[in-house]
Amino acid sequence: MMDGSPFAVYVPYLFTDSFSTVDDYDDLPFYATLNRLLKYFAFIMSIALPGFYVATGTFHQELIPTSLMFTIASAEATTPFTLMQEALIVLVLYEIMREAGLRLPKMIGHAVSIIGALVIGDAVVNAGLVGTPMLVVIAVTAIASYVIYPLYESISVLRILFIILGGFTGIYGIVLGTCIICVNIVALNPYGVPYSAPVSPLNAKSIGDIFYRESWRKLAKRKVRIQNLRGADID
Amino acid sequence: MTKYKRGKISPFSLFAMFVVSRVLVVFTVCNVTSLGKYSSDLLISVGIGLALSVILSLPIVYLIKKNRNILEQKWLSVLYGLYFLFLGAVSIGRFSFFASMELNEQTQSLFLATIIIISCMYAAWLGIEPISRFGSFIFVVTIIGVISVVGFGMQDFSILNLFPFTKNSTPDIFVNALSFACETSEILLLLVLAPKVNGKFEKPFYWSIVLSFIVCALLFFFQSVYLEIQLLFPRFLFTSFPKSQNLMKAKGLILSILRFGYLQFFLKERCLFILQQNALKLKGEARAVLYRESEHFFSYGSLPSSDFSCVFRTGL
Repeated sequence: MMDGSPFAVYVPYLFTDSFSTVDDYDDLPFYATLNRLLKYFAFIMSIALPGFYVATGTFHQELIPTSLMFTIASAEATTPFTLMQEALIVLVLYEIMREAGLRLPKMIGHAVSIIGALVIGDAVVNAGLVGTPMLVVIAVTAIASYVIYPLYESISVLRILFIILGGFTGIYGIVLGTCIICVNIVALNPYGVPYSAPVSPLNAKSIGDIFYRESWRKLAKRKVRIQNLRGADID
Repeated sequence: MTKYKRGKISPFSLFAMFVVSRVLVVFTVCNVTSLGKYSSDLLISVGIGLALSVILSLPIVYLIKKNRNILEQKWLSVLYGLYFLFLGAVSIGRFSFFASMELNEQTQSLFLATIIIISCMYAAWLGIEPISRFGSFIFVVTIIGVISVVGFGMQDFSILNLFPFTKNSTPDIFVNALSFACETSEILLLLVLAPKVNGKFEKPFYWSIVLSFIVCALLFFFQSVYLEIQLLFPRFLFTSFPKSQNLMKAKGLILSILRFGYLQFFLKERCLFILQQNALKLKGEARAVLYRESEHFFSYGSLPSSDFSCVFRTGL
């Protein structure tokens, strides 16, 4: 904490901290748990959904239900680009609009975002440049990425990487990408504590506040200290 | 409780890594040395294979316990380093060929091999500790994957498919058992990784052998009982699973989940790195250069191996 600043900085910041918010501890446990699970789901979706869509649409069509496959096929039949190219185009357009919305004055920024999303989105579909399902996928992904805002920077880069991997090597590339991200996450040790703790190395006593939120009665009884987490080498 | 040490792996991580490594090899590897058909007698082969694996590992475990690691000899380190280089190249070559031909025909095996090698380089560079933590995580995913496969195929269950119990001849059963015991390289991995274990390694090692063979037996049982197919045994086990009506849709997904077996590539690459450090005692920049060179060898080595796989498959 610093004098004159309303903010407090705490270390070490662990991976699972991105999925916990202060509100979780005000809400009832079942609602907080639902919210937390939604955040994990949104995180996975925001990174992998476009890549997975590109991979399944390009290489693994058997994974898509038949009726949905017909819808996708009819939408893609009129577009001149491959699924991977489409995903990259829409994602780049979205990132440009987001950046423009951020940099412009607040009032104009909102207008740019709305015009960009509605007008340009509608125009590219009507012009036959991009299929409607792709637009839906990217829109859902973009919204999902704001659910875990602390990880937004990583998500926006990894999303592009996954699209490229999915477009060239199918689900195998996506799994390989997932493996590398996992290895990278578990390799970090900020301030002597594993970034992936308490999931890996597993610390069963701390799991109660990771994927679900335990009741206050149980939380109050816990004697978990950051220095006691498995893998931590701080005193 | 054992105090945590940076750069070391926990006994549970060793157990998890070895289970995942062995189980996933059986899933996807092309058993070129095996004989016969998919039948219930493979369960006997798995049992004999388990006993063989335990017996084969005894001298190594004894040597390590007596603090007589054969890798202390420089020339042996070089020799085993070359072995891991070859093994890694063959594994990557086989997998990239498997993925491109059986599953993803539009992808070039060379391209796939290249990105796997780059990923292995990165993972090995991060060290054994992250790889071991990743192994613990993947262990859970693998177990869920196996349960899902068995669960999804429940509707195809027919006990009649178990009979006749033996379709393969007695010599074939023993050849298959030998194949199960020798297909994977956990004993040699133990040779390199045992000094890195923070605690006792014997129990997790033997339990990993037992559990992995149990999982393999379960899958072969599943193969025999659920699916009425007469495939030749020296085929990729999992490519035949989607023949089950309920698994057809999930073919790509199941195979992909089980491809977390990239872990074994990371492991072999890291072992190679450790052995080269051990053999040449190089530090700093020189070590990095050496490492990079080994990667080049690794990548070049994987190219002809995919051709070998082609030959094997054509032969089958």
